[in-house]
Amino acid sequence: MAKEEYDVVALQLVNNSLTSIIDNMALTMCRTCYSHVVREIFDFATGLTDAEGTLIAEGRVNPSHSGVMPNLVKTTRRIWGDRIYPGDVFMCNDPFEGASHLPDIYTMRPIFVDGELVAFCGSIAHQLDVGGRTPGSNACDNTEIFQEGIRIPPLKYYEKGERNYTLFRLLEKNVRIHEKVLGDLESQVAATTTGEKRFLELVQQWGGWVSLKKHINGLLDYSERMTRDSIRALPKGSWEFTDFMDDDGFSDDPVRFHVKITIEGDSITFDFTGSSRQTKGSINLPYPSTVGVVYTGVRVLIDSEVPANGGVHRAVKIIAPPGTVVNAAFPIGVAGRGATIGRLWDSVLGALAKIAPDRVPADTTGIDYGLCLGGTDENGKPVVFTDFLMGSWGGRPWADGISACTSPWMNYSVDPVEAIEQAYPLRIEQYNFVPDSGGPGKYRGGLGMIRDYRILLDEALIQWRVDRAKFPSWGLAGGKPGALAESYHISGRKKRKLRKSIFTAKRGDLLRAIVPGAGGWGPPYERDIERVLTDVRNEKVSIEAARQEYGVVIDPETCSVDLKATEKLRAEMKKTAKAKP
Amino acid sequence: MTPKAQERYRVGVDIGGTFTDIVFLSKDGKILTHKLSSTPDNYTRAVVDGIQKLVEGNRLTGANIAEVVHGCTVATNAVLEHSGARAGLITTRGFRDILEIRRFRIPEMYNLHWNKPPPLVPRELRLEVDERISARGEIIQPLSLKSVREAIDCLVDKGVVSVAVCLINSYANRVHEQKIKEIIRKRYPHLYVTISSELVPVINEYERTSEAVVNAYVMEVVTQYLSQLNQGLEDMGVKAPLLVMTSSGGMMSAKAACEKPVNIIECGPAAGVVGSNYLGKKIGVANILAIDMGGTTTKASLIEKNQLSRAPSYEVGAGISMASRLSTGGGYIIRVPAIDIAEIGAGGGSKLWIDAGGAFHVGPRSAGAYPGPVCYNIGGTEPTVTDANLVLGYLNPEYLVGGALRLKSQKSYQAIEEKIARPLKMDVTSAAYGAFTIANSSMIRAIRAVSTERGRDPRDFTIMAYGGAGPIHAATIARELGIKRVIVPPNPGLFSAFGLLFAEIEHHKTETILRRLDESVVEAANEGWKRLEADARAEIEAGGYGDVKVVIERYIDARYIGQAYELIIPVPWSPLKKEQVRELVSRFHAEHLATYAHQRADEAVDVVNLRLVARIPPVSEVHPDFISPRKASKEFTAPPTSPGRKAYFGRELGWREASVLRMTDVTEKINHGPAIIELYDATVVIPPGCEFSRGAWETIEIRT
Repeated sequence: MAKEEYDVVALQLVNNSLTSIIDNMALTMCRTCYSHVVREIFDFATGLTDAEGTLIAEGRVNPSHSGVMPNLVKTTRRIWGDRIYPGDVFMCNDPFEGASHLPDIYTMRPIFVDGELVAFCGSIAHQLDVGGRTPGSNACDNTEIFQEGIRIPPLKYYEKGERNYTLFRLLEKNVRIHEKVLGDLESQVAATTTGEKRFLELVQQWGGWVSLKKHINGLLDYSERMTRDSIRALPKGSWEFTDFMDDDGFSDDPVRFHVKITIEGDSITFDFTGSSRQTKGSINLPYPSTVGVVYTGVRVLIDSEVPANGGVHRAVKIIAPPGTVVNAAFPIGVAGRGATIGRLWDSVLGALAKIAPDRVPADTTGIDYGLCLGGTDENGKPVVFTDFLMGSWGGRPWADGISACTSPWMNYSVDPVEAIEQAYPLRIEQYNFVPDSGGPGKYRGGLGMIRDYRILLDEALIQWRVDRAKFPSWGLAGGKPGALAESYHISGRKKRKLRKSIFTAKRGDLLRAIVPGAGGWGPPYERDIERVLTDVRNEKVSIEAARQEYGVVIDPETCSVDLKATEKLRAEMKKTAKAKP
Repeated sequence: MTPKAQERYRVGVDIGGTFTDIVFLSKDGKILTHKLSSTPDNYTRAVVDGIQKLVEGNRLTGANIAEVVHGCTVATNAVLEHSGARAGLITTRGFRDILEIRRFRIPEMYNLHWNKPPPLVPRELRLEVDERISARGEIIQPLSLKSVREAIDCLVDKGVVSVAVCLINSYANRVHEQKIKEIIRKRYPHLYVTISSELVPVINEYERTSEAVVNAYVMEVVTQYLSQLNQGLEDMGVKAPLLVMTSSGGMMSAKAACEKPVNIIECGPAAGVVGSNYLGKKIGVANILAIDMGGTTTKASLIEKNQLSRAPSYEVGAGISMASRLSTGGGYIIRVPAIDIAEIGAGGGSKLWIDAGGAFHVGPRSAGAYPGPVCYNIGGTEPTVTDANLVLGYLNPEYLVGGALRLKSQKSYQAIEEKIARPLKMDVTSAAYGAFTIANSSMIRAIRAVSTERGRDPRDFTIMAYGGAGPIHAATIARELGIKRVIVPPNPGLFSAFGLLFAEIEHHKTETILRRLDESVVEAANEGWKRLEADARAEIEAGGYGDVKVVIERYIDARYIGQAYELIIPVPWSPLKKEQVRELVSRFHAEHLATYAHQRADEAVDVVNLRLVARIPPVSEVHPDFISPRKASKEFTAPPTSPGRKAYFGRELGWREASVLRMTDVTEKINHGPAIIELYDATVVIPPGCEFSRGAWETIEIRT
């Protein structure tokens, strides 16, 4: 075929093929997995790197994992040197050897062409349990990694096509629901089998690795060029932003996330110096998680169709001092870092909004709830249930924030109520929007939600992780913050407010999670009156809030706007706002 | 000519955004076709006019028409254009926002401009009632009739004409939903009512709510449209039954479609796949990749052993992100049976462009019918795939559509030179061939999505290429994928309308069972199928098909215990006997092995859903055994240019003199490429090194 002649054509052809391979790997996992976390929630990822660990392509699944594979390849090669063979599948979950937190188990298969190691294809899934002191292995009140479950450095799960019996049995004995975990691992391995097969077909199609590599390098250069062009178009200088988490589950001290983004020429630096020291509770971020957030931040600045690969990364520099909350140092706990990723994203978004105010939305509520439930069912079998509650998008300079929408860094899905009730001793008694929870603004922030869990197990050990109960999701350009998170444990008549903690719940108890609302964009008194009225009709905004926040006076009887009163009220609001600095 | 009272025609009517295609097919294989502009203000007009024209032009009367089969897009359009009825939704207390919360995930990961498709029922028309059913189907809280009456009264007050009902866990027990339907029927007999458990009683509340809402949303427009069409046909003296194509590639009566219009929403691309399969059966091809390349997109579907593949769900209005099965959340999800079709934004009208980083793209934006490709000379300035194909010599430089459309090929050349070749420092031929190759690689992604990604090797299949542009690209794509054989069906540009005539009447039923697949399931499964069969037969009865023979097929959706994704396995026995379960289990293992390259023969299997298809096979004399050669009048009528022209086939092969043929020149004798066959409604490109000949049923067979 006459392919080599057209480099720009080859670029597209190779890009189409790589996307198809990566999708194929992800679909293999989706369809053969055992856990609802993979299939329903989509907390997994697939990737391809070259032999040195440069990302060649990443799956359209969970981008927060994209920082990990390059690191792991390097660690694995350093440890295993020339003892890497065709048919090997490496496995790792140790944050201090390049992985993220222990429930995220990575598998990687080396790909050889004519005896030469040329690439790795990998898959990662958030496993339901990896042992440790709490079911789900996600507790945020761990104080050291040893409490968090079984730690796997880069080891061979398969060697030359044979599964490692020792490792397999060791895992089996160290996780709570081994059928699911080992089943999902097999599904991860299957994804790498698919990846290897299709990658080798691609090599053959292009007449060998040398020729394919040339085009892959072209693709990396192209992504780099697109990224650098986008960066060059931004204003030069440094911008800073600080956001906070409520606490680490031990003390009441807020945890600080500080970022300084510097744009020089065509490169961008993210400096997290000034963030809190790592905390006693395990909300600390392993470095690769920080990297994943930074890359996502860069991605939203550039054309969303630019191929996701290491070329994008070349223009990016990251400074994350070790021993801080953004770069956890051994042996601190990191299990509960889910909410932390979200907060780091918020701080990055806040700084980006200063750089490109017309392109960046107000704060998005990411994943401020993580719930793990453990216990024993009527038949004496262990029960482990994990749920993540996501929020909404902040108001955008051009449109309202989307209510109930995944943050770009994770792209998770929500577990269906009926699927939960079918598989676990729980009943979800409501899951609705909360009126007046979206940050008021010319473009309103997305709404918060309320979700009630009724416990149908005699005794359940609950690990509850909640944040944004003290520091609300921020607005921009005069937009106001969203409503705070609130959560309760209701047992009979007793109602107790919850924070990050581990506790026991009894049959019939109710756990209530109120997800925070997202920030608004622009002054609320500038919001289109029709939109306010529609929000009132739809009970997303109350008549009182329409008046107080938006300056729109609505007659409760006729549900019509009093234009005169509205005009007057809005004029006053504008004046007051101007008077304030 | 004399009136031909004895001739009976079945009529296929396919409506697209631009054209309405009408095909008449007689029992002895005679074909009459007509293509006319669609009438979007009232689609029935073009249908009635077009049929009228063929009837009159061929000295027939309405009495000559035996059956009208219609691929009807009004339901889809109503969803895409948000022009459906004012609909309301009734849910369990605590869940009015299920419809709007959806599943969170978005199809475009990093795009901050993305927007959720707006809910088809706004929050003010989503009301809650007091009731609760458990996951096992027990009534935890009885239905409060008072809350139901209040909710309905309120919706009627707010001007709702159609109501959807979806309660939590109603898949496990539908009694509350049925009660609500009864109350609505009694209180407001004029309201349209949809209850989720009668559509797809399958687990997952968002998906079930979405299905019920889409159904409620389009019920009125579909009912009005089909009754109008019926009236128009009657006025013309057509007394034949009106049948409607479903998304699964079957047909149902117009009456049944009005009750459950959600079944016809993705019928557009289904007809061509059905036609491909029918043709495949007639000419002895069992494994087919059906490729339909139109102006904006290319669609691919896989047929294995003459069985269509089914999709577990699809999203209406998700646009062209369907080639990646991971890009979910872009449309309105529906889980009614549908043919598994992957679609990608590459078609004849796809634009060629260069981005800021210097990369060369084809699509997904399309010049559409207007302003169209540059060569149409009706205002298009951006080069398209069609312009590239013209520059490469694949298309007739002067005319398309049998001479009806004049082209300006010089304009294509200039546009590609100016917009692509010069900025990329390429020559025009290389730029055009680059566009052709990139378009092909996009189409290959759609093919991979239905083959490789489902564990099927494309090399085991034959390509059936249709749509206006399909036969230009098919042979090159086949070579790229290692596929040996390509078949171009008769009338490739009208093939969807043609395909409508080969569908069968089908009613699909599903229910969730969730049990271990062992001997203990047999009784419950047989009871379930009995229930589904009774439902299906009742629908067929109500559909008014008359006294017909019904064939029942049974399936299970099965998975390994704890796994989260099911495979559909046919169950050939009825009733299922205990001793057959072992065989069923081993068929599941085999299918798992075929699809995912691994199996766990020692592991237990769960059956999640029971499925049943009730089918009315066509009476044998309805379908002809062959079709008559096309009349010259419907052939390419443009003045003959030259017996050959130069066409470009890549750098190695370069420009070659290709013979230009008409269908009449193609015989059973094997011929060699390069050649270009100009048909009335499409062009077939045969690259050097390929062989071709005329096959049975007026097909063109290409061996790569």
